[in-house]
Amino acid sequence: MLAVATDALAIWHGVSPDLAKCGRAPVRGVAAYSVIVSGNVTSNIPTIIAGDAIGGLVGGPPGAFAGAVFGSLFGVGGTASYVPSTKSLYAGPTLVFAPALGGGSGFSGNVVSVPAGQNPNAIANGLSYSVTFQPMPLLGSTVTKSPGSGPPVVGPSVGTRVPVSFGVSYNVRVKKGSCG
Amino acid sequence: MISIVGACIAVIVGVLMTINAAFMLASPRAWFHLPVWLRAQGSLTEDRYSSGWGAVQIRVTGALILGARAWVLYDMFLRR
Repeated sequence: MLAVATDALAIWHGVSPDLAKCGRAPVRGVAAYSVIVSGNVTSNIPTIIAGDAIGGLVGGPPGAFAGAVFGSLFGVGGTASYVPSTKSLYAGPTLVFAPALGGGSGFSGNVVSVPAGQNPNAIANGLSYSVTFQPMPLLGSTVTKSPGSGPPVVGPSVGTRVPVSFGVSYNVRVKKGSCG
Repeated sequence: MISIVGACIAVIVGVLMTINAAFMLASPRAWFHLPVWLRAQGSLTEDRYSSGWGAVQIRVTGALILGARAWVLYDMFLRR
């Protein structure tokens, strides 16, 4: 529905819908934008094992316990991002820090809106940082910043890393779309 | 090569999210009893989120994830 409305407005203003969708030709008088749909899943099992091992080397059994607890705050996993306007898919490894016991293991899904003038594919591709405020599993927001791709983008989020998490991911293009 | 690795990550992320979301929607209590390597419960606890308002939140979250996943697959492969 949203895509149809954006296409109609783009044509009405004499701009190719594809160009408008790609974020390269903002539609005159219309807040043309696109979205990125992302999901990530992480596990803290590897980081608990690493924290346990490092803590054990440094401080014996108490150190191992502290290391395991600290490791549970981190998680490693993967991210998949889809740009509907160009039908491009990106994916890659991700590292998460969530300052709550066991917070490193979890998942999150979000939809960020990308304003006109910014290329959603450039944001989804390569290195990106994100902060997710998730006071409740179904109510949250995420801020994503991709170096060299303009200002941060924001959108709603759902997930299990309550109340906040910080992530870094590096995505590569898996499926090329029409103008990705 | 690197895009193959990316594709594998995308598939694994999609499958794990779908399994978690399906259990969250069907039964929050059963979701908390999934194997630890499969369950992405984050900082959520069974005491708080397996019944009452907490369980409603888990079910709605699962439904949203499943809906988003279905829409992405439809848009990517079926929609012209």
